[in-house]
Amino acid sequence: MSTSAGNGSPASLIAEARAGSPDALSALYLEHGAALFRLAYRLVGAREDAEDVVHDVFVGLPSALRRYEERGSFAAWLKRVTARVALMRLRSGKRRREVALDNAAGQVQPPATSGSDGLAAAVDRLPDHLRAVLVLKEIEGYAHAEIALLLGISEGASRVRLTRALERLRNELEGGR
Amino acid sequence: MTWRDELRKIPAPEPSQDLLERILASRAAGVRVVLPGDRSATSRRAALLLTAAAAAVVLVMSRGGGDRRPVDPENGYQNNAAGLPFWPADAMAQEAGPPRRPRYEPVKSLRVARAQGGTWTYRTCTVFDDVLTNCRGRLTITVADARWEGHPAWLVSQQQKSMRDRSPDTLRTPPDSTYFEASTLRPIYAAQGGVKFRLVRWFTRDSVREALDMGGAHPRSWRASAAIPGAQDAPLVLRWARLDLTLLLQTLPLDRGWRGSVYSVGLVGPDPNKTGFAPVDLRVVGSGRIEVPAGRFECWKVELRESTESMLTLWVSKDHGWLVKTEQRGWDWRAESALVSATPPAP
Repeated sequence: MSTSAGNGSPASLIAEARAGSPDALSALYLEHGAALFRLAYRLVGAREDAEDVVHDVFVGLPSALRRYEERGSFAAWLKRVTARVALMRLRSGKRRREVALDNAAGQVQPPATSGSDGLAAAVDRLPDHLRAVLVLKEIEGYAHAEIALLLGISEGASRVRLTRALERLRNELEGGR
Repeated sequence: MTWRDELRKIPAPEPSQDLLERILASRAAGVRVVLPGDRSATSRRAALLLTAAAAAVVLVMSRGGGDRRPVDPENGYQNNAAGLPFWPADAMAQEAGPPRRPRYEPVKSLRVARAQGGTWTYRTCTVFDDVLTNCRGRLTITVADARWEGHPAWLVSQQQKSMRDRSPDTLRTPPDSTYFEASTLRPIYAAQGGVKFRLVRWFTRDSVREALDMGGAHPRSWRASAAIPGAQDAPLVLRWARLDLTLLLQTLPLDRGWRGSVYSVGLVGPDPNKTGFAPVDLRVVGSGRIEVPAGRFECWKVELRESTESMLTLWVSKDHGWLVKTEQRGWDWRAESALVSATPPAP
């Protein structure tokens, strides 16, 4: 999709998106949408929920940009906002975890296998509060202090949750071999 | 390659091709979403302070007690309440939303002849983040035959005790007492608190009158009244209390698939836009045998919703309708109460 938003500079895009320009919003989506979707998907664990999160972020972005103070990286700010929306969705219990049709009837969990498939399945089976810390720390690279702010917990609790998440992953993966 | 590298390479799907179109269509249709702000450390501290203050009030109102000094071991929360510089309704100043409608048909057919007196003691535990477990609370509920202005009534009392951290002291809330009309199980008179914090409510068939008095450094008083929604002979639940559930659960016609709604009453308060009434929706979601310190019970598992966010799970014994266990779950916490002992009257 081509856009005709301003001169294409980040500051110009942000200014025009703030004013509600669909072209500027489209340009920002094309630049950041995929990364934000991956972050949301890893946090909420289902494609439809992740799309809802990204949808809400971009629908609300023009208004949110009026509060954006342009300090630090815009991409990092956008990621934090997306993480918050995804975490709010987790807390509200609105999410729809995906269950493969083959497994839906019997609700049978496949055994963990080695390799990235087994790891992905093990991550998916983590409780939400542990998976959120694992994703934010190990995949997204947030510091515990930032995770604490995002989740509304202490840094210590963030460390405890990461340790527990890693222990569970290790146990699952070793048990599956 | 380490497993952490593998973790970062776990594939994630791509968003649907039409997601951008949906976003633009929503914008064009006037859909607006308010995104959470990027909180600074200062605003977070302010939010924490506000949350802590509100939590203190909620604890006061829910008889949770506290852990502040000086403590009168006979009257745990009075000093906390007396020292609060704000009005509870202001501290809880949430936006007034539209009144929620009951989800199910109003409860009508109570089996009031099944109501029985006795004493039930519960162990209360709180688990945070699967790490900290606090099982130092004891809740005792007593139901006794009584008369109110010559008419048959039930007198229900509740007291909570809590062992303090690293201390042999026991924190005790003052006993709360409520008279219920025997024929409908509607409250007639309810008194909570002690000298420095006292909430008294009088009920008629269609209205409630409340008197709240707080002493201490910031003394204040409030008098209010309001009309009670729902049928005049329907049961009514006091919010922040479990004591009224004791009688209600004994007399509900619980069965597989049963569901019903009753109204709960909280503080009517100074703002008529903030309703003091909310529907409580009850639904039998299962049954089974559970074990608690008081023994094994065949129970109905009942889901109780007071709002869209708040859900309490109750296990109610099939034989007598005793509340055997409760559980409430949050994002990273779990609160439980389990029956430790019961003393029904001699037959």
